[in-house]
Amino acid sequence: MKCPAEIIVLMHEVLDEEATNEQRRELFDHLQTCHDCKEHYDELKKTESFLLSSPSMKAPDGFTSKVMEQLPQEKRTVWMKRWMKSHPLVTAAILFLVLMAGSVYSSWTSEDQLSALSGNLRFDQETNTVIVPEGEVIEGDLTVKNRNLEIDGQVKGDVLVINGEQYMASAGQVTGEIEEVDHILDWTWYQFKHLLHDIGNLFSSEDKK
Amino acid sequence: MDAIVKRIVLKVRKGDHNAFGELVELYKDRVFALTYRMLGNRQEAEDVAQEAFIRAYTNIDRYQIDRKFSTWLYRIATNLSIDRMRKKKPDYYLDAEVAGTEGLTMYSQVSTEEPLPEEEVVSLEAQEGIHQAILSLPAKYRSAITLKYIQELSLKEISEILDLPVGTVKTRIHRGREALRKQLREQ
Repeated sequence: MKCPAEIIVLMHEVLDEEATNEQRRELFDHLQTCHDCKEHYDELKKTESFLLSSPSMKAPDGFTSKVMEQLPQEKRTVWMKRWMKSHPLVTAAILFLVLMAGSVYSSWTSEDQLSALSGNLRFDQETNTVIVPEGEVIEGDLTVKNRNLEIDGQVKGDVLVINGEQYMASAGQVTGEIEEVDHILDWTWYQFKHLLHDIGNLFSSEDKK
Repeated sequence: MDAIVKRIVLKVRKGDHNAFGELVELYKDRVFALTYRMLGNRQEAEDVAQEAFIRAYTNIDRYQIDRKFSTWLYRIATNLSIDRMRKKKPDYYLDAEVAGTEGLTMYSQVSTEEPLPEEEVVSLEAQEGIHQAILSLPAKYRSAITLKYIQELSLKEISEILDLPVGTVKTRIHRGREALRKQLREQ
């Protein structure tokens, strides 16, 4: 007996769980009377159960790392954020050093300056030299930056020459210390030394109170 | 699950490399199962599955966040598998045989480790039989059958993955099932 093609379609509808209850009944009624169709349906069921019982596949070992290696480079900012999160102390230290270096460098390169509390100074543009004229007395410390210094007179205090040279004439006289700072490293050290010194003063003045 | 996946996707979009690793972990087995059933060869399946993930990463901005991530990912994997099948068509039969040998090696490894009860050996053979039967299907039926039975997806999802109307998907599954039935009957 040749069954209508709709019966086969019906079987698939039932297998796909797309059939209505009525269609299901129609199919199962037919299967009870038709041996060929019953066999066909049973074979389809068996095929389906084979398909569904396929063992779950596992991706090969190291799959994820192989994929990750092949990915294009991630955006830098994210990488940095994650690194900072995992190394907070190092981040803080680097931040401190960067800021510190920045302030030292800016005070190193900031405009040429000259400081003296009192007294008359001469400036020779050609040789870029500050001159303490003969017979002149400077009361207090003298700081010269990015310029040379020639002392013909007298300085009653410390002399600091940053990024310049100092000449002392035989007649010149300095009562305090003379310091020359020529390199950024020296400059950093000088700043650091003074910082420590100031901190020391702070504590000792508190002690006095 | 969907909410977790969405959160990870958003992290990846911001450029977080490692978040993508979580996605790979979540889906690698299913994507590999898909490409393996499509291609029938472990090495090729691994290559294509990896490529699918890399494509997903580079195109992550094109994924529409309100849709299912798995659908989008399977679509990439399915299309890449079909491309690969087309490329290797001339030596397809040769490859099928290699896959067969591979199945046998796997089978013999299992049986040397510990002797299995009779029916499990039979079911392993049946597994190999169904695997070969799927591989003998034309690509359009193979993809539909694989998505339906290996991934256990709904007809609607399959239609989205294959970009075909549900009716067409149904027809392909029906024909694929009929073809498999005939094959298994001959075995």
